Amino acid sequence: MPKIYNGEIVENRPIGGLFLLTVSIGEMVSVEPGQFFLIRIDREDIILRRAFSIFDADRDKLSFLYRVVGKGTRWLSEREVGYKLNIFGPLGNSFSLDSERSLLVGGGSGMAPLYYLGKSLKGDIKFLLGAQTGSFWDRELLLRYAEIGDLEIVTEDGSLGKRGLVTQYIDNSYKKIYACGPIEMLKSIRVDIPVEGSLETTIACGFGACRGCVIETRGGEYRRVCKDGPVFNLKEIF
Amino acid sequence: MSWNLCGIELRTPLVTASGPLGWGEEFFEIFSTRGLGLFIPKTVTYNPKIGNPPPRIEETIGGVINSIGLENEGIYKWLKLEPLYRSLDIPVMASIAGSTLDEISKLGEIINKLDYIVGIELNLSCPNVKGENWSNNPSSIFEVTYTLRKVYNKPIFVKLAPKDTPMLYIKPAIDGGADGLTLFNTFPAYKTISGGLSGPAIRPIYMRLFREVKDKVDVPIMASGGVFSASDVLEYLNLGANAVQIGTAFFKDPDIAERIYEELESFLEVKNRDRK
Repeated sequence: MPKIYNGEIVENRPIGGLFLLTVSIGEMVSVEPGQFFLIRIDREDIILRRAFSIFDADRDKLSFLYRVVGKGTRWLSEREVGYKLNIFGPLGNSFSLDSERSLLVGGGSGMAPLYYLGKSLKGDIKFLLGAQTGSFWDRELLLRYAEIGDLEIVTEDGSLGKRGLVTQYIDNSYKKIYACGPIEMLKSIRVDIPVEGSLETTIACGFGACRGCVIETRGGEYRRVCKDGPVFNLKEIF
Repeated sequence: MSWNLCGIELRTPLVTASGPLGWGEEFFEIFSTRGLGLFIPKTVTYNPKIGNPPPRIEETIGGVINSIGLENEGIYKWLKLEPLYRSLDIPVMASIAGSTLDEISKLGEIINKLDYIVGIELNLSCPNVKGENWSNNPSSIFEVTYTLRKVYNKPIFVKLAPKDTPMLYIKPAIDGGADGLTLFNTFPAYKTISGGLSGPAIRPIYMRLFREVKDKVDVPIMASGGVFSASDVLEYLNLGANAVQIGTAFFKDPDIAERIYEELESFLEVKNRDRK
């Protein structure tokens, strides 16, 4: 059951082109891979909480990997160790863990939920991570991914790993693909095997009530990203 | 201390504004009614409505624009919420909207039979639905309110749009039989989407409108617009509101009602003590 926690920041530092935030919430919490938390931005001019999918969870500590994209995440990146964050979750559904040979595709900061997912999956896993340029990743971060699965990296400028887009390097030899990243990336995953993708939209209530975050499925229905998702069978969406 | 809206007893003056918390199923699974005096679920219409295409939410400085478009499953599905509404320890008021007088009449007749619903808030002012905004036309306001009055016996609160000459729209609602008013719905706005603006950004505008009408109206009023703190509630109460609605603030703090009420209680206690 989601809950509002008063979490204390124990770590909030730049790591390559991202930030790594770890919050101690003072009690054990059970989080499924793919679920997210809403963090309150303590500024009067910012109303909506910001949604972050779980990067890692260990006993009473929750970690998030995020990119600074606007004034909300800028504010968050400036919080120091010891700051008390108002954090609400876990929210949303989760990735299914039934695959035994999985390809985990992450574009940019979309790599975040794949780490906790990779730790939770059984069997062979391979990460296929993409970014515009190699400096996006910190070596320490890539090593953490490499510890739990095979790792292949792709950069648009070819400065690290293969050159191009992650979607050019997807093959069909896996049982399932798990993906998170920009919407264009998710749309261009065209394979015959099942694809579960985590979607991102502006979230208001976060628990399915306000109907603000809906997306349209291929069948023309509206589904709530915060409650029916954020993880969807991508073949039902695109 | 208790609060009264046309005979409806409220244990606190805090009311959920219709919309942000949906129909309550998800909210009350996680949170309690603590701090709340009255629950008004999201608007229901006679027929189901799929709502507006996404994106439906846009953030502005100190506000949120929404364009949900009255998504709901229609009155017959809504009736299945009875066990939830009966289980709450606070009264529940329905919020309804319609696109024809016939729909309003049918909704009124159905809800009139429900002993677990204490009244109706007539949403005349959703800014996000084309062709159904009766709120812009004083004679329509009279006609719709009167249509509901004929079939509904319990309190009717008419929820109006913010207008620069508010009395022009309030008078026909009262003449049509409204027992009370909800002032006001969101403010029509545009950023990347067109919809209704809510949040602290609109509060000074709404307080000015509220101040202007309060002395000219003798029915109970629920104030709505940018309430985020106990001092916002007190400002509206001091201006003469009988109850205060909280909406968008639930996005920032889902436990806002509880937070505000705790603060309000200590303030009201101090005030009472000082009087003695």
